[in-house]
Amino acid sequence: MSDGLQRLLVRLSALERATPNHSTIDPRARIVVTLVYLIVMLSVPITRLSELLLYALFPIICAADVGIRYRPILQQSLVIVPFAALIGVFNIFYHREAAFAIGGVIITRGWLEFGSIIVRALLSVQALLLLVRIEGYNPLCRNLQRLGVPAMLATQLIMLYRYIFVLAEQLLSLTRARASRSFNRRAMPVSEWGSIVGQLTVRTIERAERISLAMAARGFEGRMPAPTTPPRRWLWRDTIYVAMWSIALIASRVLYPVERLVQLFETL
Amino acid sequence: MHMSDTLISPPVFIATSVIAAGLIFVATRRIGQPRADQLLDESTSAERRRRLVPLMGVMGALIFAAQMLNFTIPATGSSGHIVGGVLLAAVLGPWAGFLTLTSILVVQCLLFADGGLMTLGCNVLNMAALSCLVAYPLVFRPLVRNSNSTARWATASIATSIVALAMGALAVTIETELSGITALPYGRFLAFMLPIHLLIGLGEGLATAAVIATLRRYRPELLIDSTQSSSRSRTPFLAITAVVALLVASVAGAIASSRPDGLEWSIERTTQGTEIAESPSTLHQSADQIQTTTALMPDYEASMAGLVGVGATLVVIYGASLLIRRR
Repeated sequence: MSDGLQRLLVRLSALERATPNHSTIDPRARIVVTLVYLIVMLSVPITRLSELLLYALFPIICAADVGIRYRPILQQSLVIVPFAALIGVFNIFYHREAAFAIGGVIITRGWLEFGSIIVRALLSVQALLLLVRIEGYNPLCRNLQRLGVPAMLATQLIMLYRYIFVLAEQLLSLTRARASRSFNRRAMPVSEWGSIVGQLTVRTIERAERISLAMAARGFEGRMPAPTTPPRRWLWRDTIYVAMWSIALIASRVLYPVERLVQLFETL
Repeated sequence: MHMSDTLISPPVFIATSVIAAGLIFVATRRIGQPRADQLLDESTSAERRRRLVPLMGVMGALIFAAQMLNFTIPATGSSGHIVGGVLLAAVLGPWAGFLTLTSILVVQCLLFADGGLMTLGCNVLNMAALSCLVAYPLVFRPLVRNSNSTARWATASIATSIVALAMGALAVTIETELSGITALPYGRFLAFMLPIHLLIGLGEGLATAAVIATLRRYRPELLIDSTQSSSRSRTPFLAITAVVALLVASVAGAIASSRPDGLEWSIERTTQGTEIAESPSTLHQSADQIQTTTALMPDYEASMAGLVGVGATLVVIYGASLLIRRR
């Protein structure tokens, strides 16, 4: 339990700031391109696995572009596979028509769809992981606000992240105390859980009251102040970045390049 | 209950994102404005407004921390954790609770890949809106109104959590089926989701009741519904609209989208086999039409060459990307 909490804190703190990278693109441009990518990729019909696989290029190219490693992203995205498989497996049972054959083995439509569901899950998670890795959580929240997310929500996102560390430490001390009193008894009945979390809530709210007084004393008026360094300005380069990716993504969705290539090879 | 991007289609995630964004906008407006029955005490409401922003931050972090601490589910040997919607609404009020739970969902999505970016709208509706904006005002408030009995507060917590989770499960089913990615039919999916989520709701309710009992013992004034003498519960208009929209969409979807064959068959029977120029057009059918007109091969994958080709290309480009990075 406490090990899990500590691991969580380490993982979380790694995501606060951007992973060192060579990105010269405005974070807002990257957010927009990620959204376009997700919409286009998720709109590919699930019977077209080969077209869908083409979209795996996006995370690979993006990672190479800013110079961060793709393999850890791929590995992290694998956690989604069991969840996607749990629902996707039903397509195998319901759609049993043959789609094509490799040698003597017939691949059914259900298997194709199952593959698509897994690939869609992996790619959407990878796009997201990459965005957070490249930009970092805090800068991402500020740029979401610049893109029109209400200031209150953006402030809340930053505050929430900040207090996870404070509370997790308090929870660590509470659970450590319980562990030493209870000789490491594993089971935690709901009543005991309720009193620990209830205690934590009371402590937390008292803390929040002190924090709000301290913040009010420093002139806090309900939203995060602008960062001291002026935010990056939107450049032509960013417009071109968004335009190029959008055109490439939409073209690959509309033109079915893989099928065209296959047909070309067949006619030759 | 977190939905991931893979099971959902663009029409559904765009629609749910728009509804969720609207609710978030309303929430940011409504937070900080005192309720009609609190206007009398100006200093308290001003104080509450000033305190609310940090309070939302720490309460969100609290739910996060509480989720790390699993409780044992009696007689099963397994363990569960809390979603926290009802607890947040009880301490912060429906709208602030909604916004806080939304922020938790965003963090889970961005930092833990728990639920996708495109399904954020769905998740906000299924978990945050249904528990804080619908279940809390419609179930919790009427049950605890003017009551001081511990049993009644506990019953309210459990009932509200079960209602919230059951509605959430229903919404997940509807959104998934409307997307048409899974082949699982409505009835079976619901039969799969509902019992599980009723049990989860019971666990959630017991946990919420336990925390609320502790709060009532130490700091009863923190629960916003415990001190009001006359709580004139204003029905959240938008929440009801969202639920009605979901229900209408589900009915429309059930008729038009999930059983197109059955519909065409019944139309054919009523028109005695005469050809119908236009079948009922839904987003899915029009999407299908675009797909068949733009695709070179109207049927699905005719060959496996495409798969092999793209696979090989991916390997080559990944290799190239490694080379570029090492340079």
